[in-house]
Formats: sequence, structure tokens, C-alpha cells
Amino acid sequence: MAQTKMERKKFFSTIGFSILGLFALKSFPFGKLFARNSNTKKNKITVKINPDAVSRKSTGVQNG
Amino acid sequence: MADNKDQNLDVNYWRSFEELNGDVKSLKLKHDEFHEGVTEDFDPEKNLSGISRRKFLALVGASAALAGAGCSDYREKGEIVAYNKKPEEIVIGKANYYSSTCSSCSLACGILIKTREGRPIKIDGNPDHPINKGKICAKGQASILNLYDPSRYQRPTKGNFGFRNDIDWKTVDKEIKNILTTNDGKEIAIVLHKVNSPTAIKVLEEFKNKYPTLKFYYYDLFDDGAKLSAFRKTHGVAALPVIKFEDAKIILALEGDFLGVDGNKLEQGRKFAERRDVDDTKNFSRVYSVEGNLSITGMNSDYRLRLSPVHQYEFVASLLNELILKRNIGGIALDGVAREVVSSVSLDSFASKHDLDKNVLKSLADDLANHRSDVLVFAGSILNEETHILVNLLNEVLGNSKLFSTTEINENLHEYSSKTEIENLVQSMKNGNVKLLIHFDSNPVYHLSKDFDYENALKNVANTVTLCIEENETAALSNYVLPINHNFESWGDASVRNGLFSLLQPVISPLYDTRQKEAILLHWMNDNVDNFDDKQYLNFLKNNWMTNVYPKINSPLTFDRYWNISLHDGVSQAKNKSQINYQFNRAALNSINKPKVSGNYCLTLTENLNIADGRFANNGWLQELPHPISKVTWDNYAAISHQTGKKINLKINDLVEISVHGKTKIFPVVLQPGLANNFINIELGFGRTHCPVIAADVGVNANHLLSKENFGSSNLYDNVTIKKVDGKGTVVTTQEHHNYDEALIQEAHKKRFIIIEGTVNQYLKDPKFVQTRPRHTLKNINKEHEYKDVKWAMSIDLNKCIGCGDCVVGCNVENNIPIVGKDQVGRGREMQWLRIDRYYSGTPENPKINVQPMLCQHCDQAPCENVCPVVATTHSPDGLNQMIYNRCVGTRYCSNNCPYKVRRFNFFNFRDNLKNSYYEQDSISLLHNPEVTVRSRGVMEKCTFCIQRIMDAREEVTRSGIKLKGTDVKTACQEACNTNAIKFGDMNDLESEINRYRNHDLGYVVLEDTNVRPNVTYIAKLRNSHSEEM
Repeated sequence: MAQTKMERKKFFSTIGFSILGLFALKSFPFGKLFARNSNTKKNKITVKINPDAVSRKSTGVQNG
Repeated sequence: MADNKDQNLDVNYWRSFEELNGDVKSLKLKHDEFHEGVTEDFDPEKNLSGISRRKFLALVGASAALAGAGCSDYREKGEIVAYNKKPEEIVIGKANYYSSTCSSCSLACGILIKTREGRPIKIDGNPDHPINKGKICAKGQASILNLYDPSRYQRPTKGNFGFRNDIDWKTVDKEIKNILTTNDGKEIAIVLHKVNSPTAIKVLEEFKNKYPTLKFYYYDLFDDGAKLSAFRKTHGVAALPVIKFEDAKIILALEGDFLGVDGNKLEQGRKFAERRDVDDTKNFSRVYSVEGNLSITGMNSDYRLRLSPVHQYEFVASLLNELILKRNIGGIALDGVAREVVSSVSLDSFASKHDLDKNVLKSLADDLANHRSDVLVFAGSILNEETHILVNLLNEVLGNSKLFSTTEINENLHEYSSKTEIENLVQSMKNGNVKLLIHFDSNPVYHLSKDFDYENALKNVANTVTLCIEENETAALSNYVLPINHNFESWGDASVRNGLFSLLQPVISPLYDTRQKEAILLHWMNDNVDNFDDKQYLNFLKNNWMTNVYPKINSPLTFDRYWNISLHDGVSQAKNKSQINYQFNRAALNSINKPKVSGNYCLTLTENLNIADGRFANNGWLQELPHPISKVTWDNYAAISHQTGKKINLKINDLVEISVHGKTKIFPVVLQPGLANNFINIELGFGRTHCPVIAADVGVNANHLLSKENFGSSNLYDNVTIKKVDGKGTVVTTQEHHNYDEALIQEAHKKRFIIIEGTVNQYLKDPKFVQTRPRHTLKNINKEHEYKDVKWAMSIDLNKCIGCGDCVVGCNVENNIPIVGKDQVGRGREMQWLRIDRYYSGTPENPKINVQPMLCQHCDQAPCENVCPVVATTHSPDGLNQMIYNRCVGTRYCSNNCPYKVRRFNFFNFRDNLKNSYYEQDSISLLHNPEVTVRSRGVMEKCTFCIQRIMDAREEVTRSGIKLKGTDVKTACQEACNTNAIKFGDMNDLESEINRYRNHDLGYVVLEDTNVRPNVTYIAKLRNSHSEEM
């Protein structure tokens, strides 16, 4: 009986550590580690529309 | 039974030689069930790694959990967050369109920029622009890639000889302003390409007024110099006339590629195609091409003669002799030099001397004489000034002034600099008399002849500034490298014809810390340069339009309304234009001294249709587009004729050393059918040294052969020598890829009816000649699909298709086609869904050429559909052969079964595979069309008939409650084709154009005998020869 209790403790502690380990691995940046080096210095690219631009239909609709 | 027993006794069956020879070991094996060693005791310690089954399963479980945890971010691209404040003009999932002007070259075509969620994704022609009328060339289409190019300079830098540091704009402005305002009398020089923007010209003028020691130096690698100079002499006008190709019954092209690099290809191609209409054969034009190099125009001509460009002068003189002196046409009495030149030659002797077909020449002379005012003689820019003067005289003799517009002219806002001016600049630079040298988006270190010694002179200039978008040879040697906005991030205008003005508007704010180049100069004119106003150039532009453009238009609207309408339309045209009169000036004939011809090899250094002067060398789509004639990709080469190659014992990829006036360079060779003998053609724009990744190590820099004596004239060189050298080139050509005609049968493309052609006279005599070819009718064992509603089909008119490849690039942009690189193209793995097959027939010396766009035929009985083990390729109710990418497991059986070889397999994730994941970077993801899946490795893909556009049209009509029509959808290739060769629509609509083409007398399908029932119909090519025979 004492032997089974010990095994149960070991079992649950192993599972607990495994789950902690999985979370730790998930947050580890493997992608960045194995990513190919890029030569260009990266700026964050923001897409902003020009508010002064005038849009139109794609077909020939000439106003002028 | 007894007989069988006897038979078994007689026959000796054996499975191996050992058994037959009665080998003892073999006989023993027959007795034992198991081979030796199989039943020996199994020891886990010896035979396994010592891991128990339990431990093994535990390890496998742990590995799977580890992999799952580690790969959980594999596809994570970030969160998709809805707009907090949605811009008013954006409807999620719907595209917006903006008019603008292309600045890829100096033709300034009107464009329509398609944007999704604020980012440009596709460029097409502006349908309201009177010149290009809704079409744009491959360079314009592909320029979208330049906007998102990862190699773009992102911020200003300062430094020398490869050591550069980032610098902020404020510091740059202060330092440059200090240099500009230093009163030492030294020159400020701006080196720039042709400027066609009236507002930019005004900025430059005001800059000069502010800094009086400023001088401008204009140059272009291809500048029509000889042609312009000749026209100025003969007609007193320093601009080229607008030609009405659509009114020309006969066109004689003398080394003139009006369907390619000479002039406005879009306008000229459209006008040419208007007179190649099979439904109006009475007005079918006839094209003669006399050229040394095989051009797109030559490919599409009805008659072609090979003649080295150095002999064109004599040829034109012979024609003049024939018309003026022999046939007394034109009513022009020649005297002096002109009489001497013309009377010293004759067409007959010329034909004998140069081994030209006398029958063709006679037909040409007859056509010129009989159709005079309907004949257009078009000379290419590569010819020298004297030849152009003779050509202008020939046009005058023919009296074809009605073919030249009297209300429109191609405008030049400034003159190019002369050779002397550039020499003076270089001398000033060497003497230290230039305090500031600004390269205004130009690259003279790469473009100018080494004879000028510009590169060395640059080292003596204290302050050099290069305004550019990406790395180039000049920027590498400059102190300040200032990044500028891309065309789609810029304000601007253009005027290429009198009375015609177009606008550029930025559809996206600059992606990086860049500025518009005109705005930089404008800011440097301010007394205080501390604060940059990014609206300063917009206000300047608006002011200029209010002062100088608006009054010319005579619009009844207020300026503000007029401005918004002009931005909307993209173009503004003055209604009243003054008449232009062309008067031939006979005094020009005094300068037509015959150029010396050495008798050695002749060389032309010409423009590549897609790479231009090298500015598109970093554009992977354009590099990968097969050359329209040779089908070479990612390279340039020395093109020589088959006979000349035989003489020097050359094969493709042999190396030759070419020497021109003391300069030598080694090039790989391509034997090009149809080239004149003793003639070499090399295209410029390759062999870039300081350039971004894609352009690096591509081709050979032929600019080393340029001579400064030809600056501003033509790149035609005589007295050239060629010598075979050791080594092999690595030219890759796609012309043998995806073959489906049989390799061992000559002219298989004709015998298998892949290409069907005839003549206009043959068609007039027997309209059904295409339909009377041997036909096969096979029984169908499959259940036929029923198409109750719309059934999509396409037709391609081979009379109008010129083989330029604009459709291929249009498709590439629309459908997110990856760029694979030279190495993969060499293995036949190019991913373009549409290819232009080019077939030769006849002899290598005088081939006839046919081009045929080939794409997925969307067969009714597609052989690819039956063989897919996972049903990844299916048939839609509207006739499309569909591809389900996420079902595909990559057996490639479908591609194996496709008779047209139009399926493409992603052997790699090519974005990741090419040049260190160059196209896997963040900015490139903005380029992708969100309506089309981006395919990954292991998946088959092919033309979808732009199903995303079909679905878009379906949604639109469903919303409106109306029926879907075939004309509601235009495929990307159809939209890109400037000759309108491609038609697409619903063949179930009996009144549609596509139905008419599907049932046309000249219509046929390729490989009809396979019974796959393709839905792409080709209209047979007609050559307008004099007889029924070709």
C-alpha cells in the first residue's frame, strides 16, 4: 500500500512538472532562434491611407 | 489430367541460376522455412538500444508533446483586429481604386491602383487615359513589387566606401543647406533622367533661381537621340509625331520594334491590333519588317527580311531610288548630296549584294507605290541620324502625312544634355569645382559609358547626394543616400502630349522614413529647414495646376472641383489643341553623308523590354518573365545567327569575347534563328554590381561596351570583333519546358494542329479552311457535365497576340505567383500559370514564328480530374476545373496526365527558398492579393480563370438581384493584354462575343484529338501575303 501511495505521488508530481515544462517550452522563441538572418534592419510597417486621395470606380467613369 | 501430369514432369521451372545448376546451399534453403539467422535467440541488449517498450512509448509521447508545444506558433501570424476607427472609404473585403500615373518609364501611362484595406495590390491601366486606354505594360504591372521590395532604403544614411551610418532627416537638411548656401561660386550639379512632370520642372527652375550656380544634366540610356535629331533637322520640331498606326494599310518597320521597345508599345500595339481583325479582313494591314535583330514586330510581320542595321541606310536609299527615279513617285526633284546618294544604289543590286528575296522586295516596292499615302515607314531608334533623315524623306515622298496626327505631338519638356556638357561636368568634378552633386533618382555610374570616367570623377566631389529608392552603383559611391518615396506614395503630374495632363496621387503613406524627391528640393529652398512640411509639395502642385494647367483646360468648374475631378479621372485634357504643321526641310538632306561600313561584325546594344535600363533588375517577376523571343530568363546574352554561330563553331552557352573600339567583354551566346549574319545583339540592364539581392549576379554588364561618341545618338556599333573563348555560360531558357508537341517530329506543332495558320487570301477564298482539317470524333465514356447556367470559356486571337508577355505578369500579380529563381527555372520549375509558347517553322535563317499563350484549358473532360487520388481537382457547375489546395497531397498525377502541361507544382515554399527567404519578409506579405490563397510546398496549382473575380462578380449580382453575365468578369490576363487578344465570358450566352469566337470559322482547340474538350478557343493566325500561300 505504501508503495502504491509513493507511486501515485510520483505520478502526479511528474504530470505537474510536465505541464509546467510544456508551458515553458511554448513561450520559448524557437522561431526566432532558427529563423534565417535577414540583412535589412526592420522598421515596423504601418499601412496608412492617404486622406487626400480621391477614389473611383474601376470602370471608365470620367467625371471631367 | 494425365496429360497435365506428363506436362509438369517435362517442364523445368526455376527461379534462379543457383537452383538451375543444383547449388547445394540453394537446395538446402528450399528445405528450411526460414533463412539462416532468423530463428536465433533474440537479445534486446544486443539487437536494440536497451530501451524497453514502456520507455519507448513514454519517449514517443514526450516527443509528440514537445513538438506540439514547440510548433504551436508555427502558423501564428498575429491577431486580426477589426478597425477601431474604420476609414470612411474602406469597406472590409471590397477593393478601392485610385487613378494615378506610372513613372516606371518616361511614357507616363495612366494607371488604376487597386487597394485592399489601404494597401495597393494591383496595377492596371486607367480606362480613361486617352493614350494607353486601360492597359499597362509588364513593367507597370510588376512595379507593385518595387513598392514592397525588402531592399528599399528605409532611412537616410551617410558615409563613404561601404561604411554607412543612419542619419536623421533634420541633420541631412541642415548639412545640405549649409553646403548650398556656401558662397564659393562652385557649381551645384543635378544629374537626372528625362522629366515629364511640369511641376517637377518648375521645382527645378525655382531651385536654380535660388541657387544660381546650379546646372542640370539630363540623360537616358535610351533616349531616341538620333531620331529626334533627325526630325528636328527635317521638320524643325524637337519632338516626335504621334503616328496613326490604325490608319496604315502597309507598315514597313526598319529595325523598328513598334510592338516592343520603340515608342509607346501600349498605344501602338492596340492600334496595330485594330487592323488585324479577322472579321474585317478587307482592312487587314500588311507589315514588312526589315531588321537584323529578331524583334516582337518582326515576329508578327507578314514579310520579314534579314538585314544588318549598318546597311539600312543603303536600303532606304535603294527604296528611294526605286520610287523617285524609277517609278517617278513623289514629285520630288533631288539634288546635291541626296541625288548622289539615291542614284548610286538600286534595289535590284542591293538585293543581290545582301542576298535578299527579290520577290519580297518587289512586293514591297509595289505596295509602297500603290498605297503611298497609306504606307507608314517606321525606323527604329537604334539607327543613326542619317538613316532617319532618309526615312523621313521616304515618308515625305510617299505623301503619308495623314498618318501623322496634326493635333497631338509627343512633348519634351526639356532637352537632353549633350556629350560635351557631360564631359564638362566630369572635368569640373575632377577639378574640384563641383561642391554638391545631386543624383535625382539617376544612376550615371552604371549607365554612362566608362569613356566619361564619371566614377573616378565622383571621388573628387566633396559632397554627393543620391536620391534613390534602393541600392545602386551611384549610391554606393555617394556621401549621402536619401531614400525617396515610391511612385504610389507620391504626388506629381505628367505631360507627355500637348494639352494632356495626368496626375499622380499617393494611395498609401510612405512605408518607411522616406520623402518625395521633389519635396526634398523644395524643402532645401526654404530659409528654415528645421521643420519638414509633407504637404508642401502637394500645395506647390496644386498651385502650379491652378496657374498653368487649369487655364489651358477651359473648365467651367471652380478650381477645387476641377482638382478633385482630375484626381478622380487621373487625366485632364485640353479640348482645343492647336494644329501642328509638318513641313519637310530639304536643307536636312545636305547632312546625309553615307556612314562608313567596315564589313566586320555589327553590334546593337538594345533595351530589354522588361528590365529597361536596369532599374527593374531587382524585380523578380520581370527577371523571371521569359524573353519574348529567346525565352531566356534571369540573364542577358550575345544573340547571333545560326550561320554565324556555325562559322565560329558556337553552341548555346559558349562564351565569346566581344571587342568594340578597344573595349572587350565576355558574354554567353544564344543562337537566335532569324538574326542577320555577322550581327550581334546584346541587351543592356544586366550585370549590376551594387544592387539588391535579386539583381545581384544576374547577367553581364554590357554598358562597358558603350562609347561616349554614341552618347545621345544610337547604340549601333560597327567594326566589332567576336572571338570564342574557353568556358561555359549558364543561360537558362524556358523554350523546351512543358513541351507537349513531339520532340522528334519537325514542325510537330503544325502536324498536331497546335498551330493553325493561313493567309488572308486563303481565308477569303475558303473561309472554312480551318474547319476542313482532319477531325477526330471520339465516343465519350464519361458522363458529361451539364452547364445549365453560365459556362465560362476563353478565346485567344492569335492574330492580335504579339507574344509580349504582359498577360503573364498580370496573372503573376493577381494570383500571388511565387518567384523561383534561375536555378529552379533551369529545372523547369517556373510557376507561371500562363506561358507563351513560341514556335519556329521553316529554316533557321528565315523562320516563321508563331506565338501561343497556353494556360489551363479547363477541359470539360479534364484528364487531371480522374486521376487525383484525393479528389483535390474537381469540376465546377460553371465549367471551371477547380483546385482544392488543402486536399492536395502532391502525387503530381494530375500534372502527368495534363496534355497541355499547364499544371505547376510547388516543389518548395519558393518564397522561403529563394535567396535566403527574400520574399518571405514582412513587406512582401502586404503585396499578396488577399482574395487568392498563397500556396505552400507540396501543392499543385494552375490557372483558375481568376475564380476570385468570378466569385466577386457573383456576390455583386446576388446583392443586386440581377443575373450574372459573362461580361461582368474580366480575367487578369485579359485585362493586361493591350491588343485585346484575350476574350472571356459565358459561352452559353448565344449573343456574347465569346460564343461568336467559340464558333468562329477560324476557331480551333489545341489537341482536339485527345477529346478532353478544352474551353479555350484559338483563332487561327492569318498572314496578309499577296497570294494564298504563306
